[in-house]
Formats: sequence, structure tokens, C-alpha cells
Amino acid sequence: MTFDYMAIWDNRDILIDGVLTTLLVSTIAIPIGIIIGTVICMMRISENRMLRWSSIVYIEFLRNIPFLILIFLVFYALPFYGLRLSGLTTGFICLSIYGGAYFAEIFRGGIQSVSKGQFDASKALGLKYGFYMRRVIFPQLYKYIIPPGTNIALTMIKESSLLSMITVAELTYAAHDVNGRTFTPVETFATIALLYWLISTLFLKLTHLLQVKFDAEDTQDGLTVR
Amino acid sequence: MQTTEESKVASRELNREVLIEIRNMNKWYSDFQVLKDINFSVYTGEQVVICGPSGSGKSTLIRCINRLEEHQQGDIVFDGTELTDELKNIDKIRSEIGMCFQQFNLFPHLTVMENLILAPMSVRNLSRTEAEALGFHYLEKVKIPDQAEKYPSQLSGGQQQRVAIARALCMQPRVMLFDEPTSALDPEMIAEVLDTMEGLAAEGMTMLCVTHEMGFARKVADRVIFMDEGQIVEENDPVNFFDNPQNGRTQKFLKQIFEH
Repeated sequence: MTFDYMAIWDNRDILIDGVLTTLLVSTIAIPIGIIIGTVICMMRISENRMLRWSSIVYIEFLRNIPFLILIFLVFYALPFYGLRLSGLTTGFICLSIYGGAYFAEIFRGGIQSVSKGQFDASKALGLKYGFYMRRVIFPQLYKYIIPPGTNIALTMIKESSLLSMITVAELTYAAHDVNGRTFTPVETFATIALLYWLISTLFLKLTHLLQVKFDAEDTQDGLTVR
Repeated sequence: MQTTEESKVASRELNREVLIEIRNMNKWYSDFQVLKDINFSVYTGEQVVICGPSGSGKSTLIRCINRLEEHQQGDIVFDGTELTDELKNIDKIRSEIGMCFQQFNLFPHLTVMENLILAPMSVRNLSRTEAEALGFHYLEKVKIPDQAEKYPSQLSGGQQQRVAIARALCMQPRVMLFDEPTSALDPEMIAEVLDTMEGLAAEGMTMLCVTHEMGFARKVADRVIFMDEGQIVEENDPVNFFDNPQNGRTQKFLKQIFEH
């Protein structure tokens, strides 16, 4: 059997569109997921019982169902309640709230890693909650949350392939399309595996740069100088 | 009719303004009672040392005064303001009470000067220039004016604790709470921190110190409070406290401390 490069080359437009859609979904869902995660995390550590419990329900629900089922629920079940969303909209929403649940737990872990004394000192100085979270606690979080946060973001990029099941023309959907036209499953799926790998590697490089930047600031802060 | 002498004494008594008053205070950690029926007052300008074996509740007690811990029963009144759940009261009380911790708790990502000016700018609404002037003033007072641009981890433990003292002073508090300020320090650094605290006391700062430094207590304190198992067991002036302790538990504690 020979490797049919032409089957891929001839359908490159479909694949490129697929890559772009995957990038589009991810680059929107990851930041929104981070925002949702921040909000849910603040609820999770809040002293208000209602906020805390609703955040726990949110996190437990989303972490304990398969992502595919979440998509199906939104795409196929919500129309019965009068809410019909396009595949792409469903994709944005599901990926964001799904990532948000994981980001929330990562942020909470990070906040717990910051020494309790930092909270004591902030309160004792009379600083207000919002102010010390922003100026004292969050700046100390990065080193705890970037590595696990990167993992979740990567997972989100890869999970976005499941959106092919609800007609979102992202990379996996594009591959099915190309394979249907050319019947070259080896070539097609090997190619998109390579493309996913490329996207992930590029993304890793980006977060690595971010990490290096914060590490450099740490060193300058004297955090690693002793 | 009062004699002049008596009225002088009376007026001096009246001038002894109560700054912190704690009445019938109780605190539990779930089932475990950490503080039992605490009653005492701190007067303006007074230096009070709280000592006692570890686990006796002394740190918990002073952490209740600025609401780092919540008490469940009784009253804590600071300068006429009762400490309740009301955020307004808590904010007011915290901004007027300075505190230093065993582990210094400086903000590691900020320079010494940024540590000092954060609260004055945010809580007191000072401009950066005003806050920095204040910061330099207190850095000089704790004798490290040349470290303003350094980060906390570049300083020795003793220097860090002195920065922490300066940071609290920048809020120009009515009273300073010290929670074992020298317990995390190497012996050669303890003296520099105690010197700073003595200087504060000499200037008339109202101070409430949890400490094991009995030399400091004897020299600086107006009153020494001894706690054991969540109770105030004995309260006396330092001379009587050290030379003539009344309670058996106090005697035992002092014997243990001075044996070595």
C-alpha cells in the first residue's frame, strides 16, 4: 500500500478550515473557561453557603459526566425545552463550562498553596477582600496554576474533536469529510493526528514562554534567590 | 470632700482610657473549648505581655482581637467599637490595630517599600509620595532605611520582622499586637527585634505581646498575663509575677523556663 499524499493535498482547503475552526473554538473557549473558573473558584471558597454549594454542584456535575454527553444534552435535549442552539454555539458553551469546572479546581488548589499567613497579614492591615485577592494572593498564584492550567487547556483543544459529532466542521469533522470523499483513512487520520500534535505543541510553547516570564519575575523578586 | 492628692489619683485613673476590653469571652473549635471566660482590658499606653505554655490559647486570644479568629461568646470592644459580624466595624478595627506574626508574613512578590505603602494607599487613601515618606520614616525607625528596594527574601529573618513591624506602623495603629515575633528567629537576630519593640514601648505605643522572651517581659511590660488551658490563670505586674507567682501552674511554668 502506498501513502496517497494527493488525497490530502487535493482536500487541503477542507482541512485548513477544520484547523481554523478548531483554533477558533479553543481560543474562545479557553479564555471564557478561565473566567468561568475564576468565578466558580471564588464561589467555592466563599463563606456564603449558597454560593459554595452551587459551585460544588457545578464542579461535581461537569467533572463527572463525559464531555460527549454534555454536548448531546445541550444539542439534542435543550430543544425540547425551546432552546435550539447551533452546533458551533453549543461547542463554545460546552467547552467553556466544561473547562471552567476544571480551572476552578486548579485555581482553588493554587489559592490553598499560598500560605495562610498572607491572608492573615492582608486582613490585619485592613485591606479589603477584593483588593488583597488581586494585589496579594493572585500574583503569587501563577507558579501553582500555569502547569495544571496548561494541561486542562490542552485537554480542551483535544476534546473539541468531539464537536464533530454535532456537525461542527472542526478538524475531526473535516477528516471524516475528506475520508468520505477519498476513502484514505490512513492518510487522513495520520494527517490530522499530526495537525493536532502541531497545535498542541505550539500551545505548549506559548505557555512555556509565559512560565519563563513569571519565573524570571520570581527570580527578580528574589523568590528563588536565597 | 476629696483631698487634692485623692483627686489627682482619681483623675489619673480616669485618664487611663480603656483601649481594648474583653468580657466573658469564650471560643470553641467545634467541641474543643480553646478560650474559657476571658476577661481583661488593655489601657492606652500600656504594654502587656501574654505568656504560657504552647497550646494555652494565647495566640488565638490575640487573633480574636482583630478578628483573624471569631469568638462565639462574650464581647470584645476596641475603643468603644464592639467587634461583631458587621464588616464596617471589622474594617475599622483592623485598620487601627497593627499586628506582627511569628512568620513575618511579608508579601514576597513586593519590595520592602511596596509592602509598606500597600495598606496606607489602599485603606488610608494616601498618595504614593505621602505613603513612601511614611514608609521611609518607619524604615528608619526600625533601622533599615537602605533596604527599601529589596525583596523580603533578600533580607535576614530579623530584618524581615523589622520590616513587618514597620509595615504595621505605617498604618499608624492605636495598638500593636505581637504574636510570638521572635520565635522563628535565630538567636542572634532576636535582640534586634526586641530592641525595636523596646523602642516602640518607650515611645508609649500600646502593645500586647505574646512572647516567650521573659527578659523582655520583665523589662518592658506593665503587666504580665499567664494563660494555661485557655484560661487566664494569673495577671500581675512583672516584678510580682516573676518573683512572687501566686498560682501553682505559673510557678511550674516559670520554673521550667528558668531552669535552662
